Amino acid sequence: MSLAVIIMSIAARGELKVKYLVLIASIFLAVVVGLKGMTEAYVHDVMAIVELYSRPSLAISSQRPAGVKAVKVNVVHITIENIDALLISVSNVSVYLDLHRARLKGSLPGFGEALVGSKLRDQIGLPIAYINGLKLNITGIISSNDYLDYSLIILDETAALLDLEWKTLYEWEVRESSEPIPHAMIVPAIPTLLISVIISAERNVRLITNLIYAMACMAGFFLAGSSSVEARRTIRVLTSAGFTFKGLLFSFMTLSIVLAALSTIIGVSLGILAPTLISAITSIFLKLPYIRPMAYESMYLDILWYFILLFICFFTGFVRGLTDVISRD
Amino acid sequence: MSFLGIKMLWPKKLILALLSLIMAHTLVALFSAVSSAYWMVINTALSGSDGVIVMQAGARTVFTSHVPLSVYESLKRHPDVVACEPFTLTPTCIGEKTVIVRGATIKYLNSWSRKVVSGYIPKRGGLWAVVGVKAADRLGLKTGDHIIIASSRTDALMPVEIKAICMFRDSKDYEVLVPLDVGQKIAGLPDTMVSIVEVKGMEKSKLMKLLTSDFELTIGCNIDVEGWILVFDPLNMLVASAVINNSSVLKFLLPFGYYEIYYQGRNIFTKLVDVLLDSNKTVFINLSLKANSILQVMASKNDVVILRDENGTLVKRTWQDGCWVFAVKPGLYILQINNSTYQVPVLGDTVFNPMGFNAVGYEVLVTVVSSDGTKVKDFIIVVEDEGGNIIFTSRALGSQISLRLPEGLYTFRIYKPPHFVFKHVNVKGPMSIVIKLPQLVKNPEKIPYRFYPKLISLKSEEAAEYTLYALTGLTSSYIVAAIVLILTLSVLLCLAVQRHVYLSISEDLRILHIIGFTKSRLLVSIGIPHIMLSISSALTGFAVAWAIYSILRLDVLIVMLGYGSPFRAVDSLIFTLLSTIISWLVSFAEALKRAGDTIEG
Repeated sequence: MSLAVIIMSIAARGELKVKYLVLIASIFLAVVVGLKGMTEAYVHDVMAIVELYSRPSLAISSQRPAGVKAVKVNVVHITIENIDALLISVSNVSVYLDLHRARLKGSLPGFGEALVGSKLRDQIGLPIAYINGLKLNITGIISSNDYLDYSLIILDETAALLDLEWKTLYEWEVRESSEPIPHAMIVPAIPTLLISVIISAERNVRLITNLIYAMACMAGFFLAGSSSVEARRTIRVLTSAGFTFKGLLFSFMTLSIVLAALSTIIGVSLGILAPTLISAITSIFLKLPYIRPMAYESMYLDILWYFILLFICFFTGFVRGLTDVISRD
Repeated sequence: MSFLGIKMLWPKKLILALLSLIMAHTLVALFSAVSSAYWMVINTALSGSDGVIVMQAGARTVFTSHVPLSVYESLKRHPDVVACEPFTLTPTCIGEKTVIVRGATIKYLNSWSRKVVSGYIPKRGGLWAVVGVKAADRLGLKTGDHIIIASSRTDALMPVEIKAICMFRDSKDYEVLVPLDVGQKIAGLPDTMVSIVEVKGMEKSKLMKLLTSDFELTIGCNIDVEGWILVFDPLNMLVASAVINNSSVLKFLLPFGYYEIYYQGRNIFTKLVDVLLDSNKTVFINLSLKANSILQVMASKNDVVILRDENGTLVKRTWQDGCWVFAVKPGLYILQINNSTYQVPVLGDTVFNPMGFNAVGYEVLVTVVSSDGTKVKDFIIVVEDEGGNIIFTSRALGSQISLRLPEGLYTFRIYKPPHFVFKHVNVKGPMSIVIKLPQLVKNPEKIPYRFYPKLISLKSEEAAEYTLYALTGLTSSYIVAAIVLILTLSVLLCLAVQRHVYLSISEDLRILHIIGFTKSRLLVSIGIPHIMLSISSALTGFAVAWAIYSILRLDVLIVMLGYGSPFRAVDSLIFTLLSTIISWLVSFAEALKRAGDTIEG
């Protein structure tokens, strides 16, 4: 009978205490798999919701988008009567207002004239506005659901009279078939927001996973070391029976592989089954949507990585305990 | 003798034990700090506020809650409420990073002026923002920067200028704060709605009862002309109406709120009374437009007191009880006392007692606007003291009038035919007030449809739980369970290390036991030095964990909806020491038992 088989039968009979070693290592992996599986399941569901969500309607960029008809908008932050507002210049006010679905009360501005946003008008309340000494006659009031409510809108020709640091932006309507344009900010920004939330959640999960790996490694190393120290009598008997140190090393290596594999299999099973069960119970008793934990894409990498780490930690732990026992003799 | 425990390990085992313990405790401290930070972040991110909050019952999160602003206007008038603030809370992206944008009143934002690290907080609204220090750090923002906030719910883009960076020393450090109206646009809310209302000073249960009950408002009317009784909420929205053509009693069933009761007749639209409906209440109103009213003028008998109506006709006067008395029909009168002339609107019995406050008191700037926000010009302002006596009247040709008044409670009445409205004002210092004239109701029998969301009050930690429960199907209890599971595993890690240390000296312990060391002596000689060793390694591990947390900047890396948490030193230290003591205790007890068992065996 080979030494490896002997060691394993010793472990199976409880002379080499590996029960807790396997259990604790399994629980660590179960937590990792459960956490990642549930997170992936939520991400999957969230992305499905994003798909169903209404399409974005407006995009803005500081760079002119290629292949899209965009409105060029010159913007500058100004202060009128201690109110922070925007001065906007466009070449075609009508097109610009249509893009923002703004309502106009009054008439479109001509040269030396301006439109005022309803919020700004509430606060300044003047039929005339002065910007850098330039008198602008207010020809209409705009109501909109965005920044136009706080803006003065003038024509590009009027803007040419003003020496201000204009910033040029491009705005356009996004259609369902539109290709995504880099650097563009799109509203409603729900897809961008959800992706950002998912990225930060995944980063958090990664951090926790790394901490769990580190803890599992330490626990595996010390528990394996303790197991071999506790089995000192058995080791002494084996060495007395003529088994070499090299042979013992090889057999502990085999045992480490078996234990790491066992821990990984139990851990993965537990990590999938436990959240499934919890999710099922909560969906039945608490009337919550059932979230099925997913066998996520990188699970095999986690399994492989965890198996290798456990094997190394178990083996080094066993070897440390073994050398401790042998050196005492 | 007391150092025997150390001597037994000296030197190789001691170094190894120390290193192992420090490593284990570093992991435990780091994990407990991260767990604690997560818990804090979840609570902060999903509750949105401190104290008791009012949110919509059906809303799944504080971010999707709709609370009428009238609830805030009503609650702030409640005597039990110490402080009350409306907020909009919207998760949004700046660049590609998530952050919560909080809309708050200008007054609230300015209350943080002392916490400004750079820049300043403007006194008026507009497209500007205040950023918390942590958010500024995370998003790379500084004062003077221009950013575009994209609404996650509507197609609203809001370019704002960063005016200040503040160190709030709470969760707002991770937020971007904007004026309430800007926040409403980003949240996709109408002007009359906010996300939540934060209430201080009132118990959650009492607030809950207030918000979920309907109360009966009984109006005892003594009015001698035909017209309409209209009930408005604080946002000047019509909520109830009834026609009246004589003295009668009207009953309305309304939710909690502050209501203003108006009379609308053929040529007059006047506010009669206001009421905070927080229980079943009865109010009585008197309005006599046909019968004569009494105008008493407080002046000496020697003063020249002349009263004329709008047509210039002289009104007969009598001297009674130390004042001049006039019996007049409701309307506007011109009163002359010696060389001073006053315009006095009379609508019911009135006492006129003019006082000159020009040199004393605080400046009060009164602006009158119409229901659509346009400024109203040419009106008469009447100021009454707490006793209801008119102390001042004046005609303002513009839309504003500046008065000087000593500290106290006053009633400001604005007469701008057909409007005759009033507002109670508590003058405590220089102030600016805006009086809004409600719009005449064309069809008083038609009550506009109003969105009355069912509201609930929650504590902030409950709000987080509520949100989690509804949003993800997980309650915060599950998260606690997950954290407890992982923390238990971290205690097991400490136990594994401690146990290994004692196993490595088990032979030595057995010998000590043989030569007569009792358990108590072993505790003193071995156990105490070892627990000291463990505690010192736990403290070192804790310090290392703190350093790792700070160096890796986990406070801005561990984020949920933009909220992070600094190193939770107390929580982490307590847990690390607790796990050290538990693992040492279990390991030492097991070691003693093993030593005894070996001898007996």
